[in-house]
Amino acid sequence: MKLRKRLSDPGIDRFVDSYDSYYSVVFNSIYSKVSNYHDAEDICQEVFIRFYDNIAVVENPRKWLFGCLRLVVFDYYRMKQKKDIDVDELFEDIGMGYVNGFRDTRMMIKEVIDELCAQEGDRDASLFELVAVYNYSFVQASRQLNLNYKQARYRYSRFSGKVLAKLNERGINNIEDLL
Amino acid sequence: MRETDILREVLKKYDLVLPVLPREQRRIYRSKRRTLASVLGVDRRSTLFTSSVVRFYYMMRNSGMNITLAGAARGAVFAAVTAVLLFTGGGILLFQNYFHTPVFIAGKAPVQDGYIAAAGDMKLYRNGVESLSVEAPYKVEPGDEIVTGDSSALLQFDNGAVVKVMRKSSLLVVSIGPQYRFDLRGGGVVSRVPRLAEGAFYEVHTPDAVVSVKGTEFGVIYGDSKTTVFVAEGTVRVKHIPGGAEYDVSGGNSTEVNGEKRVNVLTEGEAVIMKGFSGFHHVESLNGKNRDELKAISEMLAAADRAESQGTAAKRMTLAELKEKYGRLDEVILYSGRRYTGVIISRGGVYKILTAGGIVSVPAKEIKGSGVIQ
Repeated sequence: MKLRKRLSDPGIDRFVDSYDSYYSVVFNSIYSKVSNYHDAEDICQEVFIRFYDNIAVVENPRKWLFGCLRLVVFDYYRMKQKKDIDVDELFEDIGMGYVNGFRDTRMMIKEVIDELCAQEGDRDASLFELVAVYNYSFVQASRQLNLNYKQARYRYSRFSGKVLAKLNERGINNIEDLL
Repeated sequence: MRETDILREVLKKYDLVLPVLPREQRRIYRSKRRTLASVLGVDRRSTLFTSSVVRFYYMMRNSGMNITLAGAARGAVFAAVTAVLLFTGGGILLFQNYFHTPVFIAGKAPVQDGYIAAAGDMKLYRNGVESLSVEAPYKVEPGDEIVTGDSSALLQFDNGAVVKVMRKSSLLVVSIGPQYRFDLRGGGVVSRVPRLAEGAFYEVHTPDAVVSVKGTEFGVIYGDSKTTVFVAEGTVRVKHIPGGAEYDVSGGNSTEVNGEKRVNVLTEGEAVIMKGFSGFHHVESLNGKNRDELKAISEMLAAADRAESQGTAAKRMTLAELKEKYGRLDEVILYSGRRYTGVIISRGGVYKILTAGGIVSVPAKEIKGSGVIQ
């Protein structure tokens, strides 16, 4: 009966849509930080439970999920009393340790991607992250996002075009120059 | 290299790639299903039902169907109910076929009034409606009409009587034990009736005759508005209804029931019928017989049918059919006064006459004369 009540909830379709779009990205984001599959699954579950409970007030699911993520990681380790783990350290970007132009270019690329992902906030962004950042094949990425292979190829190239256009705005006229 | 591919290379170069192994990718997909089931489950725990719903949902989505979670829940319930029904039905059929003797349709156990075998295309009409799935052993009730096709049917009753309804016959069961009455509407019936108790009777009625016994083995054939009674053992009492004539027919004799009260020796065809029937006996505990035992009886019945067909190919032919086939009808008159009507198929020391009742062999010296009558 509870399931029926939940399934008749007006927010359930929005939740499931966001869940399908972001679960893999959120999981990978957590997994890349905690490097433990089971911890990542527990944390991810907690993030989405909170997301479900607050679905009515969430405006931008992506921003909300990534904002919630750090808080849940902190709570999770505090609850498990793993005092030897520094949560802040988990969220540190190792790439920021680089120096000179390499670091600046890296920051710029990252900003462009983050900005576009935050703006677009749909499956195109998630697909780009899965394929370009987390090294998923198109087959596996399309499966994670409930798309077919052709849709995944098309959406990926569309989002890549937007990334290239943004980089162009920032003075990188030829992407090959960055190689 | 395409620009999109170059972009990936750029991300790799600037250490913005966090590769996840394919094995991990698959695990994450499984985790996605588990987590959704937990989020939807009671107390945030996945149940079998929520897991099934989520699995069904992703199965449908991956196959290209744009289904909602609520739709998936309904689909999962439907699929589960269908699967359970199919599984249960299949299980029952398997159980019946392989581990259990046939089930009684009308369940008044223990029941001995029923078919042992119903070879071929037998039909049973109850209250004017054809009963489906009639399979031995099957209980017969007063009012049932048994219509046989190309195979005979065999019945047995609580008093030990065994009844064979011959091919292409119609028999109405009017009453059952201790006072048995059957109405033969066409075709033939052969019975073996043990000695009856006081007050009991066993009768076979045809439109123009009543054959009643106290304990005997006999057959009755009704065709072309004539009743023929033939007796293997004991004595039967025959009554011709239109004329009111009553007389006895003893073992080894037959009669065409009419006012003439004439009794003859069994014809070859009648003897074959009785010989084929002699192998059937009342079976105790019919309900407990397994498929193989019932099948053996059925095969025995079919073998008797075949023997009748081969031995008395023309015994069921009417005079009209004989005339149509042979173009004439002969009449043979014996010195004893007996007359045979049929077709003489061989002459010499012994005449063979094909009659409506079968082939009759008569020594030539007993024949007074013969001629074509029609």
